[in-house]
Amino acid sequence: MEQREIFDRYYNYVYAIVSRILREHGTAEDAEECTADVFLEVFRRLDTIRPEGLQAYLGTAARNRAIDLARTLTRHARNTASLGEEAAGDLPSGEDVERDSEQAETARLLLAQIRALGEPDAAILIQKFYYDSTAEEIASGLGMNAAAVRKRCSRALKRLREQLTAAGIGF
Amino acid sequence: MKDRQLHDLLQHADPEEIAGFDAPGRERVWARITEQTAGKDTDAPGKITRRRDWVRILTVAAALAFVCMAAAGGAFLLRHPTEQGAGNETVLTMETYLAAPESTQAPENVPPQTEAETETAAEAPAISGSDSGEGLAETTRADGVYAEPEVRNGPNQPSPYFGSGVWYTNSLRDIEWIGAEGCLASAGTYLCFTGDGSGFLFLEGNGTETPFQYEYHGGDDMNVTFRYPETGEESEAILELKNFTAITLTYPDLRKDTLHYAGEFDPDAHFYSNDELASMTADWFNYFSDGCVRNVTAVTDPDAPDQVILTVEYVSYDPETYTVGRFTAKGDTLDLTGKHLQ
Repeated sequence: MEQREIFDRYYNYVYAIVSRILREHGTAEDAEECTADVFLEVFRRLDTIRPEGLQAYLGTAARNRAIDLARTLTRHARNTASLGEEAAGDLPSGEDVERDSEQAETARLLLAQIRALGEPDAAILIQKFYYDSTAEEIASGLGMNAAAVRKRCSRALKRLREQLTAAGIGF
Repeated sequence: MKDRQLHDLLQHADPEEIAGFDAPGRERVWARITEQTAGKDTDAPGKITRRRDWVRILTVAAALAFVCMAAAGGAFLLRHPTEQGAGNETVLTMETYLAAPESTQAPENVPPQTEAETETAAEAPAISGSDSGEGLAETTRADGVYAEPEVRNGPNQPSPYFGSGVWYTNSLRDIEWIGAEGCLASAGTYLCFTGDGSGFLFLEGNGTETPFQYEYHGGDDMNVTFRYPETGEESEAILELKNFTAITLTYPDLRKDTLHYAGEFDPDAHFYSNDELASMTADWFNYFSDGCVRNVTAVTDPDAPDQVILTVEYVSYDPETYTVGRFTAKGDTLDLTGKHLQ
């Protein structure tokens, strides 16, 4: 597989992992840098990675790189300790597991409804509400102007609410 | 569902599922990769282009600066021990500073934060921008008029009354300075609230568009602040809901403006100004009547702010009157959007 092909196929996956870890610690630019680093590392070692293990490799590399970068960015001892705890994965209580599982399921249902909006509305909502991108940033990526993104976002939210109501999903 | 709820819920989504949607920055990241693989290594020694490199450098520089200052201070104190450390007082040198417990190293003259201050600092949301994203009115009736919204008195929230929707006023005196040539007051104005703390203001006459942001401060007075990024101006008012189709804004000098609900905000709808509708109407009728139209005037229907009344004057016939929608350019007997004219 060509490098660009690999990049296109796994970019969203790597970026999603990286941005989630860096959310509290870095900026969108940090996430982009880190994502680039992950792909550069994979491209350097491409000959040694089995194609069927590529996604797993990318996922692990993304997590490790992002945690390293988050530690670099958060020099304060308290933040570093907190990150270390997150990375080490404290054992959650039964209640935590149940709540997390419920929230993950709700998020899954929500994503299905967002996906049903079609593009580019789905991408706009995800970039705004998951990646916290500004209208200008979204517009630049989607080749639209910021006002159009705002308008589409507003309309998509309205449709999403209607869909959620119709699907009996209340929050 | 509020925007904040949507945001929070999505944070629990599995990255693998999120990966099904386009992430931002794809082309920028690819450009960064190709730049580096093509030999333009931004990590090359001596070339610093990355933010985190700057973070490292600034951290080290700050540490060095601190050490130098401490050393200089220590040297000064060693040279002038009697001036700085009379009696039994401890002379502050670099060694004593570094050896002292953390509590004594805290900078002086910084008042400790009270619990309330800490809470406020932690909870205060960012200044409302175009993407502040909170406070969408959630309930609308089928006829497009808002059902009674929940009044929230939290700080800095867009007003629930200003959820997504279009409102009309013909007396927006307080912000007349933002219009073209400072004359908004004489023209009717539409305020299109996108529902996320931002909106557009349109002049009915020529369609001049001005973006604005609004922030609802809540409290007993129900204060709302309008900001106009293009001019940097602000306008404050006290909001009063007269009924579900009218809002009164009272300004600090006690002048009032009344906004009338004009309809739902449709992001894809075009705002047709009076001038534009008049021009379209003239084109339309001239197309069929071989240039017999002498003049077309367009005025906003005083009873329905989303309608425009068009009067077509002919060279040798009696004038005719039509009504079309402000956002559709269509009426019962006239559709100005016909493509055959193009």
